[in-house]
Formats: sequence, C-alpha cells, structure tokens
Amino acid sequence: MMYDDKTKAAVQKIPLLSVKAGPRDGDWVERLKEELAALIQYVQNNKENDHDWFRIESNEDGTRWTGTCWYVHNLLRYEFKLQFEIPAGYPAVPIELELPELDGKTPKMYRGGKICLDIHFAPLWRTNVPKFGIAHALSLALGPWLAAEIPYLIEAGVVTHKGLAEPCQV
Amino acid sequence: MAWWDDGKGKGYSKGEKGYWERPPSGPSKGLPDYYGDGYHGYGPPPPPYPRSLGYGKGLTGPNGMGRPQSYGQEAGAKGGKDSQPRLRRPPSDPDLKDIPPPPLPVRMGKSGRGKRKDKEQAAEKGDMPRGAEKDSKEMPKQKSKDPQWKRKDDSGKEPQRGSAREKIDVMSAEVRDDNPYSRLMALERMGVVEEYQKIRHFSVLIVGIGGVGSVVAEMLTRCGIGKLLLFDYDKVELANMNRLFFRPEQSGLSKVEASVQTLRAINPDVEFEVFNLNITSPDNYELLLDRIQEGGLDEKRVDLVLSCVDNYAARMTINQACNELGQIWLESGVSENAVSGHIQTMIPGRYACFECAPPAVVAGGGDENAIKREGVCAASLPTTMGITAGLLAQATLKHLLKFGTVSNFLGYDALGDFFPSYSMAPNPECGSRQCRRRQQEWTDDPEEMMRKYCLPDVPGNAKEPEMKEESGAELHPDNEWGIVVEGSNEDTAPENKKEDVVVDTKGASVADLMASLKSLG
Repeated sequence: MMYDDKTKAAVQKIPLLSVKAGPRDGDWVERLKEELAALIQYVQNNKENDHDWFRIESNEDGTRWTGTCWYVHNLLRYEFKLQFEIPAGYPAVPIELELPELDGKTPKMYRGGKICLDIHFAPLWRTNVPKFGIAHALSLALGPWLAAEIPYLIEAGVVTHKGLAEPCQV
Repeated sequence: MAWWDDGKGKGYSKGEKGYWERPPSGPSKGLPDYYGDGYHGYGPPPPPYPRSLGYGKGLTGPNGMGRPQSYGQEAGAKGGKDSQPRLRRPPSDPDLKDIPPPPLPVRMGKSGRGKRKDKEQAAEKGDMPRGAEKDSKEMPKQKSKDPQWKRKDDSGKEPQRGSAREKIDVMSAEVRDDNPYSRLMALERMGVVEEYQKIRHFSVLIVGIGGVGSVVAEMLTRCGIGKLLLFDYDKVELANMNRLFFRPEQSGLSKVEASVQTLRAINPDVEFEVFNLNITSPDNYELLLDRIQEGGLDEKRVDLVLSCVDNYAARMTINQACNELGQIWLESGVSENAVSGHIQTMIPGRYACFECAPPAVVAGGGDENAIKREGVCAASLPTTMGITAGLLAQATLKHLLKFGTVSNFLGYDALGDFFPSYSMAPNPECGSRQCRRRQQEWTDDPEEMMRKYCLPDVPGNAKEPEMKEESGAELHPDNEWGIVVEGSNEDTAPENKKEDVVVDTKGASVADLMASLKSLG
C-alpha cells in the first residue's frame, strides 16, 4: 500500500458520505451539506493534530472551490493556490485538483495545473463511491502529492519561497 | 526440430520476457468471469483463418495463439521441398515447370482495365489530354463535363505543389490518379462495403485529440467522413512529437486548432466543429450532451462517439453522457508503459459500461496500483498509439458502414504479439443508474434495441450478452475446499472499516456550513 500510516489514520477520522449525487442531480444540496460537514471535521482534526495544511471555500452552488494549501519544508512554509470544479459526473467522476501556480513546472501534472492522480488515486476513489468526498480527495490525493513533489521542486529550484522567510510555528 | 523449439510449440515459455498469459479468470476483482471462448461481438463471424498458408504448420501455443513455428529465419534457411509451403516458388524450381503461376491480383492503377480502354479510344481519336479522355456514357452528365477533381493544369503544366484541392460533391469510383476517393470506392467493387458513399452522411464526435485521437481524426478525414466534432483542452507541445500527426511548428496552438488546420487541408469535404474545453466540468458536460444530440450533419444526432482520452475522469464523463443518451461509443486506451492498448465497443445496456468494468483492471487481471511507475506520468510510443488508432478507426468504419465484426473488446499486447478479443456482459449492480436502466431496456425488448441502435441483424449477432450464467453458487455446487469469494475493496480501501465515522450534517443548512468552514481560518 502506498499510503503511510499517518495518512491512513487521518483519512479514517474523516466522516464518510452517503448521498450519491452530483451538481446535476436533485440531491446535490444534501451531498453538499455532507461535503461541508466532512471538510469542517477534517480541518478540525488537522488543527488538533497540529497539521493544518489547507483552506477552501466554494461558490454559492458548491460547484467551484478555491483556497490555498501549504507545505512546510526546512521550516519554511510554501503556499499554493488551490482550485477545482465539481465534475458533472461527480461523485462517480473524481474531482481534479488544480494548483495553477505550478502549471508547467512538473511533469506530474496535466495542462492547467491539474495534478496527476490517475494511477494511485483514481482506483481508490472508484472503489469508494459515494463514501469519499472532497475531504478524502484532499487527504489522499493532494496531501501525498505535495509531500512527494514539493521537496523535489524546491531542491530543483523550480519553487522558491515567496518573500521573507517566515518561520513556521512547530 | 530447431534448437529453439522445445517441441511444445509455445514460442515463449513462462517467465521469459514477452510471454503472455491469459489473465487469471475468476472474480478476483469482484467481477464475474467475463472471459469466454468462441465468437463475440456483432456482425457476421469472421471466416476461418487459413493457418497453414506460408506461416508454418499452424498457430500453436497457449490457446492456439502462440508465435508461428516458422517465425524467424527457419523457413527460409531450410529451403528445399520439405520446408514450409511457400506462396510462390522461383521459376527455376523444376517441380514448377508444368504448373502455371497463380493469376496476379488485378491492379486498378495505371495499367488497370478501364484505363487501357480509355487509352485505346484516345488513340483512335488522336492524342487527348488527360482528364478529357473519358467515356461520357459511363459517367453522370454533370461530371463528365467538368470533373470536380479535374486538375487545373490539364493544359500540360505540372501541378502546382502544395495547392489544396477543391471540394467534391459526389464521391466517384472512377479510377484516376487525381480522384481522392477511387481507392476507397474500390471497396465496393471488392465486395467489402456495400455502399461506401454513405460515409459522407456520418458524423463522429472525438473526445481527446492526442496520440490516438488525432490519428483517428486523420484516418476518418482521409476516408471522407461527413463531419467530425473534436473536443480537447490541451495544447500542442514538443513533448508530443514522439507521436504522430502534430508537427513541431504547431506547438503552442491548441490541439483542436492545430488538427483542424491540417485536416481541412487534407480533405476539404469534411465538416469540422471544434471545442477547446474540458468536458468534465458541469457547463461543458451540458455542451457535450447537446453536441452528441444535435451536432451531427443537419443537426441530427452524431453517429458515434470516440473516446481517445488519457484519464479516468474524462472516460467516466463520456460513459455517463452516453449511458444517459443511449449513445454507442468506442473507448480506446494505451497503457502507461506504452506496450499495450485496447479498444472497446460500448453499447449502453448491452455490454459492460465503463463503470461496470473499467478495462484497465479487467485487461491487466491484476491490481491497477501495480502499474504505478516512479517519475513521469506515462510513457508513449508512436507505434502502439498508431496501432490503437488504426484499430479504433477500423472499428468505426466497420460499425458505420456495416462490414465485418465489431468486437466488444479488442486488446493489443505488443510484447507478446497478441490480440485478445472477448465481450463483457454488463454488471447488473453497476453503480450507474443510467446503465442499469439501459440494461433493463435490453432485457425487455432486445429486438427493439437492435433497431434503435441500428445493429445489423445477422447470425452471430447476439441479442443478449454472450456470457454464461454468473451466479457463482450453481457453478460449483460441491465446494470441497470451502473457497469464498471476497470483495475486492479490502486492499484498496484501508479506511473502509467498521469503526468508520459517518458524516452528520446535524440539520444545518448549506449556508451555515459554508460559513463555519470559512470561519475555521
């Protein structure tokens, strides 16, 4: 298994969803409520574990999400814009997370800054429709992706720290 | 017996590089065993392949699909009468003196029958310029006057290099160097296709104009398809140059723009409609549905949707759209390591849909996670992509023009030189509601569905999926070893445990929840 125990433990504490509905379905509001509740729980869990690492919010109908995520490397905090859309076929179709600022900087990305998740994330998502939601996608897809890519990109000099070195509160 | 032949006729043995083994059947991934033998697909069954012609004593090996025994230099090196039968022997062979050589295949080129006649006539009338030497009786009036593909330089000048041709209203079967359709129309004379011109009434929607999609688009354009609708949101890059179709000077252009540039020049008769967008987002999905329903010629429904995309989300989106609309589509894919590919005919409710059985899992017969490679996202080869594109375009032509067999699944394994073909019944518990609805339609009235999807009614055209009963209990009544089939989710879903927390919205409204998520910062 490619996920470490820490990630697994974090994911297990995210509440599972039950409504199978996408933005085109009548039950979308119910699904959206579940998504929001799960996200709130996940952020709270992260804070408790001193591993707060993203903020997101959505537009009114919950189809477009924007926010930031950050990764701490050598006591420096690297922050990136995060955005994604809920696809029409959601949740059978997984969300595609975009880091627009990193577009073109790494091969592990599709055009437009979509991070490449097909290999490890899509199969996992597929077996967990409709139980997984946005919070699960962030923890299982974006988290490990940042952990794998950002240190490498920093070493390669592709990503540099913005502004003054801001010491991280550990 | 040759030094490399172990007498078993396998060609490769287990463990060797290139050895192909049928993936283990059985419901190891929680799917029923879809591998059946015999004929699958629709259309008349293919004629038996003459196995001993020029290729050794027949194909042997696992399932009769191994490498021919005569592979390599063996047949040629041995020579003599006891070697493999050859198609044509050199005239010096004393045995052949009294046997007349086989008739040569008729060529429809310059020395073809029609041309000679024309030439003779021309000779009678005196020298006539090419393009005027035509029998007016054989041709429709309008065309004999001024053939639409007539060269502008009939006066004797060399054709201007790089000049584009003009549009052609009606496809002609006339054999001429400057008729772009003569070789295609010859398919009728050869008895392969009944009415080739019909291709001009068909419209095909292609999602994904990459290594496979662009080549398929070119093939269909050259075949004179009526209309192509192209969807892609990517740009041409130098990293694409290991594949076919796009040229380095096109980098930076959107893929749809670059392809329509090239394709229009190749065949101005084809109509194009291109969309530089990602189909997965809700708005664009609506557009996709609309174009499937009304994007064809004369605002009719398109005749076929082709999926040439490289990711799961887009495939699932096409699957949903086509299940929703009851639209036949063809799936295609090339593996991450670039040495295998597949095409799949998707008839909603009749065959397994993409959500019933994602092909990578089924075809690989193993854990999809195992194909993960460190480093870049995927490898690609122009060869595998070109072959897959060829298979896909071929299936498109066969489906539209109704010739040959259109298999449900056709794989290509480059390492083992193997083309597995089988069909997959839909999953009655498919996650897609639309798929289950389509399955019900096929159960209720298969005849009506055959008409609805315009499927040829020929022997071998299974009105029901070809699979045997899958209800495991009856298959093995005496389960001596107490074998139990476990669900496939365990190793992939570590969080799917009993102590799982289930979400509770506590009756809050969306606005409340959004506000509290925001306030967490």
